[in-house]
Amino acid sequence: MSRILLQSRNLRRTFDTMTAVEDFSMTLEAGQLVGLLGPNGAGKTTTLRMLCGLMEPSSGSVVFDGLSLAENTVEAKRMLGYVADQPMILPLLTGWEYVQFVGGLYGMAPDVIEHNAMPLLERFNLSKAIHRRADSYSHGMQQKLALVAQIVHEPLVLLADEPTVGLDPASAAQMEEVFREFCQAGHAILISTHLLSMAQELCDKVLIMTKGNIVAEGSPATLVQEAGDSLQNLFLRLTQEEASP
Amino acid sequence: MTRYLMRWQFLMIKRQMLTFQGLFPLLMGILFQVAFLTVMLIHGTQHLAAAITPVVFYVSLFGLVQVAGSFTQLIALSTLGLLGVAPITPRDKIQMVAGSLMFTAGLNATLLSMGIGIVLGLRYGLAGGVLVAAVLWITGFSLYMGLGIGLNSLLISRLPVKMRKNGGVLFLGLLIMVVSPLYALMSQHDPSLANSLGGALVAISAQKSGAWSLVLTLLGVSAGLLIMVLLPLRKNASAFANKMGDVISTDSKEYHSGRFPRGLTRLLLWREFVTLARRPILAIGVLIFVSVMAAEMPGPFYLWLFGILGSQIGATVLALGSPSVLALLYIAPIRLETYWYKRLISLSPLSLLLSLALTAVLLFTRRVLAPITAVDGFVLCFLAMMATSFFAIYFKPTSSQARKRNVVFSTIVMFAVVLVPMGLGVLDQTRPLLGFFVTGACTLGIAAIGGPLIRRKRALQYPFSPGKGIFITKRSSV
Repeated sequence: MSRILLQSRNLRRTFDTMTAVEDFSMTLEAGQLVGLLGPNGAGKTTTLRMLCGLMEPSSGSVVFDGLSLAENTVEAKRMLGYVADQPMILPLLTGWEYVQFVGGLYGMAPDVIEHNAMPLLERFNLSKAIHRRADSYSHGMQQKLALVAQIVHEPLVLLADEPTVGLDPASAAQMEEVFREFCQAGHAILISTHLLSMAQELCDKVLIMTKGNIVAEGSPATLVQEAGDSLQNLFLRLTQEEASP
Repeated sequence: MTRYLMRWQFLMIKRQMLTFQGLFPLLMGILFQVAFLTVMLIHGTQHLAAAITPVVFYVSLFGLVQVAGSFTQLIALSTLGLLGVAPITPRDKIQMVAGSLMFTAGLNATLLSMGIGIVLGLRYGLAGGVLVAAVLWITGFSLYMGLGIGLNSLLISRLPVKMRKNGGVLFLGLLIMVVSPLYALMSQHDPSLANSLGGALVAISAQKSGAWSLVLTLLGVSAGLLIMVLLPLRKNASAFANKMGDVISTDSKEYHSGRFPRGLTRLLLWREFVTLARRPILAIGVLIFVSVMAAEMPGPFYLWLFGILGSQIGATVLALGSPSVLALLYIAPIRLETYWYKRLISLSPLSLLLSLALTAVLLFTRRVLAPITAVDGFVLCFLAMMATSFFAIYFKPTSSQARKRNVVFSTIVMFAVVLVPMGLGVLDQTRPLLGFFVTGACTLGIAAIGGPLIRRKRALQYPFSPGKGIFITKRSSV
């Protein structure tokens, strides 16, 4: 068994009378790319926010490479990167300055940041724009920049919330390639998405989530085989069953 | 179509403003004015007119900021997005904007007139208070509409397209730079002229002879100001309204930074510097505003300005950008208390610079400022910065509370961070040495206990949990 980089147990999140996440348990091993699939309102973003420490779970635990997020918060956060659905771009800073700033928050030296970031920026065709203000970039450029900034400190685990939304096909393909290489280097990624095609092509394992619960789990091929149906139909059936009274 | 737009606009305004949450801060603003004037009168300002005039001046400027800023925003909104693509004539959009701004102008006029009306009413009787409040309301409303919209639109229409989105700010900067030094000079050379507005309001409320001619004069001025809205607005606003889409073209200039710093403190200092350098107008505007406040501060107690300044600086402790950008800070491996301490260090140069500017202006306007008192001012600025930043991080509701309690709590905290520097400022001026030790002890005390308190409050570590007030409390999207 590969090294377990992320483990969550019985994560639950309630808001007054509403339960957004019922019981989320999963493990993420080194080299794995896991997709978290679900319709709108399934609890994917809430789950990711709990996993990266932006939201306190009502109950349950999150452990990064043996370190509890609740008890060893700073050390655990060193190991993770998070790409939000809306790029977290700082106003007034150029793309290059943004990458340096974020890398600096993780204690990295400027020359190391440069060494890690430049190849990625070139790959994403951002190198010509890096001295322009990042708030002048298109959404797709900002999203790619945000990804570079979160990978540059070489986190063990990357959490990404719908990272390819708004990207053109070429950029989405570049991003997927970077994800694959990231995992091949021994890291792990958990991506939330509702693009079934992406999940099928990219992910080693998928978790199908609806109304705060995981309703199916397994590799795309296994799920399809067991269901005797396409992933799309399986997804629709599972999510509509949950939606029905 | 105008009525249709207005109906929806007022629905949104109603939901935003006509609630306890919207009106409570307005009420507190009025009470604060009354308290301020009362303190001024008790502590030595001989003439009511001399106390009232700067209050009217500052509150009017505040109202103009609101209205002029809202005008530019609303014009931009009405030409972009949904309204930009819909088949709506510029005339309808402008009428909607003007109608919406009447509400903003009315609220600010209420803030201006109520406090003064209450103080003068207590002094000269109910009838006098009501009369002066009514006249001041009409004049204030006309001022905001006339200058905030009419003159503003005239100036903006003369600007190059790319500068129009900052038109409101430029207009106000111009106004402050022209009017404020004039007022300051007049206060020194001819105080009776400078305080003539306050004198007129006192005369009206006391219903002295000549009061009615003053009322008619002010109403005449109001009519003139309203004409400034009606005549130029349609012509000037429509000239630029259709081109506001060009305004959103972004900055394509390149910036090349030198060596990047290492370490959180240096990183935050660097970012502070970059932010100010790329917004020079804002930096200059703040400096001018500080200087004007210092020059025109009435009465003997002016040291609390250092506290107000410090509070404003401290309030930017978490100002990295929008709330979603703040998440960057929370996912990074940084303790919140560590961030707080280092951010204070990064804000200290600004605190020092603005304190120096304030001291220079006070000396230039021939205030008596003993060395120990000047030092007290610097320490007070730093204390206010530290206290406000601590409040901004620490004092938030930690569980779901009723919205009304949230608003009351937040507003009370807001006034506390204004009133406490006021109290310490008075102490610093009356007993400078004692004030120095008290202010210094408070500074050291907050520095010592602030960090551990932040560390121990677990709920602070989670910015997206509801009721945790760093972010706007709303149902999180799932």
